[in-house]
Amino acid sequence: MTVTVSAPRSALRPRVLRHTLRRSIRATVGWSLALGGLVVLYAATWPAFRNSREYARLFDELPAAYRSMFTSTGAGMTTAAGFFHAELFALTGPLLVLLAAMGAGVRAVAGEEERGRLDLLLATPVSRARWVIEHAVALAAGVLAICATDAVVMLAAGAAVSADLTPGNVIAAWVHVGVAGIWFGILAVAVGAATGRPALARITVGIVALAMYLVNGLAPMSPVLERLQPLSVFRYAIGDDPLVTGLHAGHLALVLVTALPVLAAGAWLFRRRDLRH
Amino acid sequence: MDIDRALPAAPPAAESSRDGHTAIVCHALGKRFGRHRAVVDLYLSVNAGEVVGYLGPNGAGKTTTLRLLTGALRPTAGSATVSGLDCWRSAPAVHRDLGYVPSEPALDLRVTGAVLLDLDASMRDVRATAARPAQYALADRLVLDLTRRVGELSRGNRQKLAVVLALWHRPRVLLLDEPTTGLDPLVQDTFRELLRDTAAAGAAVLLSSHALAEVERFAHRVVVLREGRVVANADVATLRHHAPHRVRVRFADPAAATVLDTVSGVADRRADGDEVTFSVRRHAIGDLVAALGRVRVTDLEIREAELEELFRSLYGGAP
Ligand SMILES: Nc1ncnc2c1ncn2[C@@H]1O[C@H](COP(=O)(O)OP(=O)(O)OP(=O)(O)O)[C@@H](O)[C@H]1O
Ligand SMILES: [Mg+2]
Repeated sequence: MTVTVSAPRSALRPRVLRHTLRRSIRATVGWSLALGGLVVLYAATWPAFRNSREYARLFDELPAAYRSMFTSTGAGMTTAAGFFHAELFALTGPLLVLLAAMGAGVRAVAGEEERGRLDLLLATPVSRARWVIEHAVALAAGVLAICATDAVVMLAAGAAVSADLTPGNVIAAWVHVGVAGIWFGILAVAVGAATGRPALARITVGIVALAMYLVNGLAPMSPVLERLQPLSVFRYAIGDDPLVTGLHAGHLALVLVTALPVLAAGAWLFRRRDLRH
Repeated sequence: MDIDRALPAAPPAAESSRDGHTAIVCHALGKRFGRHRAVVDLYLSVNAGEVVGYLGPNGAGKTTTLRLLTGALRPTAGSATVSGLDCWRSAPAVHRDLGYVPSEPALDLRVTGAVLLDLDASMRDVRATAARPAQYALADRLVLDLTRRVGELSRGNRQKLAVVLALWHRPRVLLLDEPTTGLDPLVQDTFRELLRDTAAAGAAVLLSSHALAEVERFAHRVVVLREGRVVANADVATLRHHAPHRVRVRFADPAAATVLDTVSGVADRRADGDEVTFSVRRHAIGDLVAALGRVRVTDLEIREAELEELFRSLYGGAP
């Protein structure tokens, strides 16, 4: 029997990406549906809000600092964009996307390692750095797939209740949330790769995300927090109210660029340590 | 890359390839986990075409050695190299020609064996369609269904899958950590043929085990490890030559057993009524027969000792 394999293929050709994507399909579909259900639910309540001047006034009369947890541009609850931003993009949307990304990020290295599978998987010509990078790419693709699906769900649900939403801004808002999710997912990959401990990766992401969320939301209340606000990923993900103001490409690029050294540090530490058994 | 030496139809055994170059070399290799020294100043080499059995009691450091060789662990002293490449620093290059069966292989349970083999091919940058013939031929030979989900496979069948994963790409270096665990005797025979073919094709094989009897059947040479140190390193043929014989004699008159006192080289003597069992060195067999000729013997059995018995002393007490 003779098996002839063609000439060596490109070093850039992914080795584990396709398999990783296929394995994550179920999680990706699950998160898309969960988040899509939430979008539909909020859309269903929009007509009631639109018609209730009282609720809108109530929101507008909240102390400014408190209101800033829900909106940064001062858009009230009386516009569809303001409503969806406050309900969906101020907390629940980013939170669910973050959880999806964290799950994928933890699984990438620490999860496989805890199950004892990494020994065999990494006894192949795939380097540890390549393993980390391809899993980060798969994670980004999965998160963007969730956000793309739910942008479409939101456009459809918004149209169904005649919410006055700009399609371009809807897409922009989901891209912003997705990029934030990718940043935290990569943090999970990096901590998992550096330590091999899934729980530690989850705790780290949880603490960093909570701190960044509070810094961004409470910035108007304290000069100290205000000075820290530029360090918060949420400042760039939701601080612009993209559903109201559209895409902020510079801010997205900034978030993605800062993820790179995080990933590089994780890969570097991964290459220097023993695999756990 | 050309994978034209399909394993299942490998060429007949070529003993001469045992004299090939040294493929695996551990040089003053050491591994500490905190205070605990799992491997200490280890010198070990395996030639191309050679099968070396790696023996030792629980916790001796066998798995640690193999994981140092796969680059999963970083040495704390010395070095491990495969074909001149450092197992830690050049791990991906080493892995191109490496097959590894971990102890208790952990595999993704939700997918089929075929999917895992596809992934392995992809990680080795081999097209799935090019890899499949060799993979399926091996699976057939081991009687393994690749279309079933790994989670549904029995323990022994999972072990077979681990063997297929390690062998399909015809590695030049094979590291096997207690690979026959869970395999039934028929499959063990097939596995032994596979190993022989792999070695005959020029691969260096390091195989860990607890049972000398098993390694004896697979290996050309045996290395025994104890508390992280090599305590024996010998050719299986040589060992066998020096191994004592086990003798069982039944005397017509139990008192006649005293003739054994005149034979030097008798050890481990145990009497049970008129029956006496003992071991005797080869050089003393002539004396033994002469001594037995002077009394009435009703039954006699002499057999080659299991190497196990020889090694009990090296292990120090219980194996
Ligand atoms: N990651 C680790 N951290 C700490 N100690 C370890 C680690 N891996 C192995 N050890 C210790 O190193 C020693 C050697 O273990 P190893 O697994 O190499 O033994 P072994 O010869 O394979 O034993 P067995 O026959 O039971 O498989 C043991 O004392 C073990 O507890
Ligand atoms: Mg072991």
